[in-house]
Amino acid sequence: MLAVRQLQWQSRPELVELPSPRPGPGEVLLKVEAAGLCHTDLHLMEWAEGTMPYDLPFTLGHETAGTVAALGPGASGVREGDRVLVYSRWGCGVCWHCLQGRDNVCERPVAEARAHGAGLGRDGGLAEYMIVPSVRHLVPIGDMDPVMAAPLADAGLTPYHAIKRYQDLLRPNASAVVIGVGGLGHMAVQMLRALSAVRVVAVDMREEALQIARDAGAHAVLSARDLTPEALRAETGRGGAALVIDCVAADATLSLAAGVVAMAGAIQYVGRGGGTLPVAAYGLPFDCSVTVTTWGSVPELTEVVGLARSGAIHSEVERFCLADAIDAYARLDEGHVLGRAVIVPD
Amino acid sequence: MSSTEAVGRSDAGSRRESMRAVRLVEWQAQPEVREVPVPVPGPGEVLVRVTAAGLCHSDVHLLEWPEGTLQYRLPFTLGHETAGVVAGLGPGAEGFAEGDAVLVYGCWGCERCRHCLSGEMNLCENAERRGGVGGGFGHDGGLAEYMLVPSARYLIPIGDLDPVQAAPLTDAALSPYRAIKARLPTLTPGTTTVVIGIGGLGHAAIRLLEALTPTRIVAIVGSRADAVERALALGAHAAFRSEGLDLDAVRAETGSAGGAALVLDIVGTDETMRIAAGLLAVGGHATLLGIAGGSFPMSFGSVPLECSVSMNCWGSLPELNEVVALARAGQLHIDVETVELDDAISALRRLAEGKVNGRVVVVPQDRGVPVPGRK
Repeated sequence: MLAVRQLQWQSRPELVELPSPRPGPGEVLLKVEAAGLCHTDLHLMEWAEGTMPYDLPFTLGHETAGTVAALGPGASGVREGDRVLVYSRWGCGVCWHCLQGRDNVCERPVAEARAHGAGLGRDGGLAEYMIVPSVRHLVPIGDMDPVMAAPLADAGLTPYHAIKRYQDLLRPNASAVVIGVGGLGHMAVQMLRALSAVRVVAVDMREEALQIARDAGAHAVLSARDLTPEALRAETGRGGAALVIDCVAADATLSLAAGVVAMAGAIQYVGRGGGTLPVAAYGLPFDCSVTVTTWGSVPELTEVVGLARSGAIHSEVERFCLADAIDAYARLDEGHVLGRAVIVPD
Repeated sequence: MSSTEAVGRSDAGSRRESMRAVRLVEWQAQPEVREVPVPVPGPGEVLVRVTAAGLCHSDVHLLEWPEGTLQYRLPFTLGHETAGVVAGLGPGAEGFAEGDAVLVYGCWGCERCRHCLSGEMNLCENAERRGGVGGGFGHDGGLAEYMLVPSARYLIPIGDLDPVQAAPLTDAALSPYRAIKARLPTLTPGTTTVVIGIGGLGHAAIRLLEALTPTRIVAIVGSRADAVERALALGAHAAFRSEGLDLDAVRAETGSAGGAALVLDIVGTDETMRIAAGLLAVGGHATLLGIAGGSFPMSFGSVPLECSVSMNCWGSLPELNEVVALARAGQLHIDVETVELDDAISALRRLAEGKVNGRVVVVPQDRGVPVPGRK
């Protein structure tokens, strides 16, 4: 089969021919129907050797929807032909967090696991077939279009978790700010609208992204160019934003977030822009929390799928075939992808 | 309302006209004990005769800050941890009677913003515009023989609780209480909580954690010779010195989690914040309660994933009620040493030098009148 593999650090992945895998005990073989490309992959490609203790090579792709093609000995709970979405953060399964389906905060050190999950140290979904080590990582999607489902695994789950964790802040008289309306940001805007009556303000550098934010239901959109916290506060209200979801997380956006967040509010550091927010007395409003988030839980992914199946959220996607995956990454890197780039192997 | 009530119910005939108060008269200078008029309660206000007033490290910081750091007008009386006895009620002030033993909630809000409406005057959105957070921070506080409280709403009855025990509850216990309460669902059996600093707030934090949670408590202490011993005596399960701290050795105390579910940094220097970041478990939370000028660099990689950090300030009025209930039930004891009002300034110096165990509480001697509640 064809697979997009990371063969060495600090280089582009390559499209290679591999033997199709066979499911071992407890494992499930999926025929990949759709696999999303994520900005995290671009960061990963640039990592110097040793940044993460992942063993090379491995297949990229941590947003995968597919059809169950075969079950390994002892695997049960799904049947051949079932359509499923893969929860790609694979934890140890037995620590206190994993027992609650919160593999995203698995206690097992990554140095020991040597991977975070599919496409992150283990073979992911940018291939024609994929092995999932346990049915525990599968969420049924029923008759949902796999192309629409795939981005939910990260671009949907991550903002959902960031929002749900602070849902009590999203009062009808409060505001939320989404910085960066890309794959995660455009989902964040829709989810804020679907889950709350909060006023949603979206910020991005790109006019096309601001249009997507408008379409997603943002009450106000602002260009990030020369944007000051004061100008942002004119849209959020004087008290500031109860929740700021920073899908960029560069120094400049974090500084904007700190300038607009309300007392007892929250900043969700979602992006991987590498910025630092210095938390110091009188630098941030009191009782305001800053969280470096990652993914969400398995139960939360089932909720995201439920939200999508109800029609409340919709992934904006651009389709590519597997052979064009490397070019699609390049376009993503140049900021030319609106919403999510999804690879459809067929 | 009768006409006599309308003019107030303070015992004006027997009341003294002047009193001693520890006043901040100049920024970056030592406060002074001054003779000032005993205030008269206006409409809605309550006059409290102070029976106990705690000294806090934030007072020490306040004395060090240059003019302009805070928009407070000088002079004002210090002291934001105050217990006392109701000595007079202004017109319209209700809910208490003269002689009632009370604790003063230290954050006086606008009563109109959304935080005040939910009893979180510690987060009042208009505090700065109103000239200060409360008594001892911009407004006259409790380091005096009498203190004016703007509303009966800020008084909590303490019954027969020793006022010397009660006074430190308003900050030294309330601030860590709020920090712990916010994280209670995460402090399950098998988790570890790290407390950095075992002074006024820190020692209360250890006792609160023990009273409220099954978490394992690890203390990080300063350089005093008896600090480790003292932390263990307070209830910490393990204690380490911050100087030359081996983070791996501390993490080894936290079991499979590989770090702490909660870190309370009650010192707040760059060094203690570095320790706090280094001891968090994945998904853990650091609450910064010290204001020593440090900065906690929050970035991808500076802490384990899903970790959060916040900077707390006091607690809410309902939370202070909860803390008082805990103390009245005998489940929270504050270590105190008492000094007279005239010795408050030298006691502040000792506090700055780290020579105090627990809390220093000022007990103004009321010229022969016995202090109610003291045994």
